Amino acid sequence: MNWRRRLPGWLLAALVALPVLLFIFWPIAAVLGRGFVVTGPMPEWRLHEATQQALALLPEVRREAALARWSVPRNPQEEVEALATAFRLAGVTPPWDLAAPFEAQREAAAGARAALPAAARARLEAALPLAAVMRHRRVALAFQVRDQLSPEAFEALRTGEEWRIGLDHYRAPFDDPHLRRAALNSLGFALFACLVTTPIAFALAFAVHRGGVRWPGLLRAVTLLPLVAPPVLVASAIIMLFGRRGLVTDALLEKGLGLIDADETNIYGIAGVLLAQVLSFVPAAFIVLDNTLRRQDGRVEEAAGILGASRAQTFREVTLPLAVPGLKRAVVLVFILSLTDFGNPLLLAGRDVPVIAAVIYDEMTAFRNTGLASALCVLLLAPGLALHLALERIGRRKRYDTGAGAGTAPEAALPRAWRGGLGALALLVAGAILAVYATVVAGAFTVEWGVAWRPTFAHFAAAGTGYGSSERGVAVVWDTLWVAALAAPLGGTLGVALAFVIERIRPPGREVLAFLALLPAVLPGLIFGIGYILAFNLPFGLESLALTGTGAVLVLNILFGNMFVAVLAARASLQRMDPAIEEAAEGLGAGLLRRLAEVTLPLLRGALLLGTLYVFVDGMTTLSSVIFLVSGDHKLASVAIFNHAGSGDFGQAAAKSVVILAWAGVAMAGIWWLEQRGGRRLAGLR
Amino acid sequence: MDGVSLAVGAGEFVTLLGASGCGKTTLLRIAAGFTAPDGGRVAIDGADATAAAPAARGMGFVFQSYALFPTKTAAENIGFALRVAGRPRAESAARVREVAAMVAILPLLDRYPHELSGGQQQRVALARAIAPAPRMLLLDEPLAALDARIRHRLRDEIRALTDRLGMTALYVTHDQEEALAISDRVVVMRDGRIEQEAAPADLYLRPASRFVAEFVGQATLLEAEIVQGVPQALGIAWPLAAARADGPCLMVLRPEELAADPDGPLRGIVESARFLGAMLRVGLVLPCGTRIAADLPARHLRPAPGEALALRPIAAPALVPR
Amino acid sequence: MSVAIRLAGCGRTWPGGSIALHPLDLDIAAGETLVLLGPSGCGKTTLLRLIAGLEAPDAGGRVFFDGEDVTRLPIERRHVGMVFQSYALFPNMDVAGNIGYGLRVRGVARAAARRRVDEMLAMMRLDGLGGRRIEALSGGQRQRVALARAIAPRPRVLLLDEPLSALDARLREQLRQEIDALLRSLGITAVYVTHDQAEAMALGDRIAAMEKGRIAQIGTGRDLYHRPANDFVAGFVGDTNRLATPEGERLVRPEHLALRRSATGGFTVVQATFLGPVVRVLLRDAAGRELRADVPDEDVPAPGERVAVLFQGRSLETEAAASPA
Repeated sequence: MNWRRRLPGWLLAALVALPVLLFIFWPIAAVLGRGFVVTGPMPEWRLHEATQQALALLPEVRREAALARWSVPRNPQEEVEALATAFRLAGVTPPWDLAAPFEAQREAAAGARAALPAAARARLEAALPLAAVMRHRRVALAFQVRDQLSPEAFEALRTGEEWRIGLDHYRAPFDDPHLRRAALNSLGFALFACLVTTPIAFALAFAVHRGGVRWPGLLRAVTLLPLVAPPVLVASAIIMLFGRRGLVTDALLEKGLGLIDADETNIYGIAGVLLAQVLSFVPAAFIVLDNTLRRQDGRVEEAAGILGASRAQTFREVTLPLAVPGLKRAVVLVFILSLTDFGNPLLLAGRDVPVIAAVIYDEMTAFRNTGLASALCVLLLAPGLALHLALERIGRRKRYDTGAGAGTAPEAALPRAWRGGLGALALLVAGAILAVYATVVAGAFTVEWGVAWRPTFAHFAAAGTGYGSSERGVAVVWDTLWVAALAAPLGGTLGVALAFVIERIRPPGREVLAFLALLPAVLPGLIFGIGYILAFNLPFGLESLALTGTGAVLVLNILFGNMFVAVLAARASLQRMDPAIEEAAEGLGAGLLRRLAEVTLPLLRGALLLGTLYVFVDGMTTLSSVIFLVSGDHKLASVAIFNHAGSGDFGQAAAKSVVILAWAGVAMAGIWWLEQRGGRRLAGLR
Repeated sequence: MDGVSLAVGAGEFVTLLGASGCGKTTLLRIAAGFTAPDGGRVAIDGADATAAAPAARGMGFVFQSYALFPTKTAAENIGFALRVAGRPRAESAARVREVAAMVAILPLLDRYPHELSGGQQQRVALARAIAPAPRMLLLDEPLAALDARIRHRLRDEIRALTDRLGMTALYVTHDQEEALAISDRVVVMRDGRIEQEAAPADLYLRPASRFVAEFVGQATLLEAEIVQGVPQALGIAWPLAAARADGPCLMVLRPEELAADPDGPLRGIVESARFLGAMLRVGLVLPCGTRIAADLPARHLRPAPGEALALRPIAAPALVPR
Repeated sequence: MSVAIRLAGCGRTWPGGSIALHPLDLDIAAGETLVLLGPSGCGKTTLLRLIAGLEAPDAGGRVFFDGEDVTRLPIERRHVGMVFQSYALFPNMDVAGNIGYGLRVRGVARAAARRRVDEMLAMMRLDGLGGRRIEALSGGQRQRVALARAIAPRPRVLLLDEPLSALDARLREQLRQEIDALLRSLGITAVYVTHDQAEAMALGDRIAAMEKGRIAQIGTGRDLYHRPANDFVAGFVGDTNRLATPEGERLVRPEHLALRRSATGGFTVVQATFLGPVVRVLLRDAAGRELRADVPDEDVPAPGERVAVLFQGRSLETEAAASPA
């Protein structure tokens, strides 16, 4: 009766896999496909056909009346354009200058009309009404026959555009010089970011683990602070400090010391973007390298030491090679983060230094060119993937785990010179991070940064006034709170359940499931956002299922976009767990559900709490995936902050940021308290 | 650890023996220079080395977890010390092969640690430690993670190796059988102090305290009293090894110190008879309720539980204070 | 109520194709303690897990408890007690919770369960530790809790997978005696896996020596020691010398050799090591062949001395081929 035993497991697997496929796979696949769809204006003859067919749908009487009415030109331009089209339909090239002023064209066209041979003129007269409708009355016609047309036909008639499958969008960055420039800029930033950030993060992780600094716990906490950052926090702070009216550049150096002209010498431009990216991405790289160093066996370094290696030699021969897998991961991670970053470049370099990520944003919001935006998103994946594959070839035969004894640090202290250098670096980075937060907090309470240096609470008012008032005021943060608070427990639970299915139920295709769950982590948020629009605007063509414009789509996007942390943490816990524990429970008679509830899940508590916290905090601060999903009814604070920062309204941006930070702090404290309550008894996991 | 003093002579093989947490590994690590002592000195060949870095002490160290460099082959591991010292490549390669042959892993030189078994990894660790020809070898429970059979074989090989190379050795283990088998001197530790320090035979035959008597070898401890120079226990007189003052003490009765004898003075009922290979371990219950264990030659005797059996002492058991 | 166990044609192949266990038959009497002895990778743990029901034998294999075919029964229905090498205690429950888990799962009434848990705490000398958390226990205590947890639901069979290998030597010996006494007093059928032959001898009614997925020999300790079926078994349960006597080649244990000082003796003492109960003497003849002899610590010849080696009263000639195993 083997299958009966397995049934609950299979059901759980299906229950978990379905949402993943629906809300992760489908949107991303939609983006992939959308890039191949190229829309363009229909050729005239097809437009002619479509118009004719639509006209034929009208009842006889109305058609004559409509034609009569619509053939009358409303102005010289319409008259001329209809005539030109009629000429072409009649098979004659319009013989007058189509670029001349319309009055002149009118005269010339009338002359040409008269000069036509009889047969041609007959064709022309016959075609003229249709030509007029075709060019200028199509929209009215389309709406009149709307219920008789399929949605696609209606759209085609209305817009005069058709779509086809093509590689045009994918070729655009190679053909279009502007896109080419943006692509090179993006790659340049990404390369610089990963090459500068990774060594800094490694040095900090090394300092924390090998006693290079006096308060490692504090350094770790400060380094991780930017993870809990509302969007464009770093960029805003940099502008507030070093911009045209920055505290340092303007107030201090220009007005105070008279050394520079802040309008000329400021942080805008490439330097600003690089600085912002390095500060923003150090925490992510730090987490990876922190973890890598934590797992190393300190005995290996002691072995090298007693075999005669100097501290520098030990570092070169042992510590660094053992950290290679972590370094590879960190490099690829920062590369991808930089490549997909659009907030920092937009704010600090504007359109002077275009990057692909900002181009995508523009295409979506300004030009509504979903096809091009989708294709660019997909192309954005290529460099990261290429880098990952290239690095994978390094050290393939070797293994890096040192087996038993992992996690112990060597006792010998670092040489003083090392400690001095690391301490200085730590001070620099930590100082920069703290300066960012201090600036933002100060900005929240300043009337107008750079202009009016008076304290105020006005920015914290619940409702806002003035331009863009629907976004002003702190009330927007409440909306964000609800969305994040709803998504968080769902995301954490689903993530843990998925991890359990992958590790313990082990259905076929579990690796695919794991990959899908992780996908939102490595893909740019923009893809996820665009994907949700494409997938849920008219799912299966049914308007009733449309989710865009609702709060649900925000919750789902945040949930599935951040579920991967719960999955990773729970998988790690399950893999570390002694499998004998579950076998012991089995041996004592516990069935699957019982084992799950009484033995396995209690041990996954930490992963559940961590996953939930991450969804909440990231939900409060995420920008790129939700920026296209907000609507009139449902706003998010992160988008509002971005808009404020873009228009220089730093007081509002800072105030909202401070509120978000406060809530994030509350959430973290809450989770920490929950962990302490039940966590102590789980300390003996080994 | 508290106020421990230890001297190891050149070429000696000394073992630190004790249970987990007794301080033996800490002592070893202080000798190596990985841990600094709170107070006191470490001297090597007479010279003060307390502040010297591990690399400057001229010692080789073998870790319990092997601590091989996972990203390097066995050959690269073994040759590591020579390479960081800047020796010419040909010389290093020759030395690597020489040492690899000593520990019988020549065909494995190109493998990575994860491609080797536990025993093989331990040999690589050994070879790596002795490649730079240190004057002393420190070994921290090197065999703890291995199967019993491999342990027995490797421990003899380690001792043979240090003998052949004339190396001083300081060895840490919790296995008393291992300590007796390979050491010149054994230092029994407990709770951060030295209980007794002696050659294996002396430790076994003349333990200084109850703890050592129970820790090293099998023993039943009996309450005894020396009356007019004769040890009295279990109601009978026992042979005496060395003269001792009268008074109460504990008798360390080892299983091999009793033999079956139909006229023997110790009479009781057999409780268990376990075949151990070379011997039969018989558990005897005496009328007073005391249980004693005796190892009897297994060939001809087959006492069954419930039978009566008589024993007599054939050696003088050690005596320790109560 | 202990059961007799029978395995018929049970083999186990890994998904990759390698063979963990060749098909074998095995009979274990009710109340017997059978020890599966062998080096790592010999299949002993796999065999134990087949009996437990954690793994299923390849097609054609059958497992019987007292004649009842339990092959298709998963472990939670076989009513066996299992003790793991890593103890596998539940970190989220205290000692009493762990011990009582099997009772709770089977729906035993709370009062009866509590009585049984107290009984186990007393039997395992864990009195007063019922409310303790697992991580606060020492290694020896954890092992006792693992034993108590396995025995509390009164299983029909007790299966132990190298339960003592994670402990210090001294603690191992202590617990070994306790387990021996426990198994004897419970009278339960037990299967015990180990790589340590001393442990096997001390605990087993019968021992199955395993190598590369097969049972090389099964019998009492005496059988394996005095009449080993092949070189592997001979070498595994103790040291041996291989001697060529007029009756043919035989395996001789070190304790069966005696030494006598003799200027014309064929052997030279290479090394004499004090092991405690005996002194192990390593001997070498002119041709370089080696012998090991275990002699009492009385007037042992020193390294370099020439001796004659006696077996069954007769002195060995130098052409005695020797191979310590």
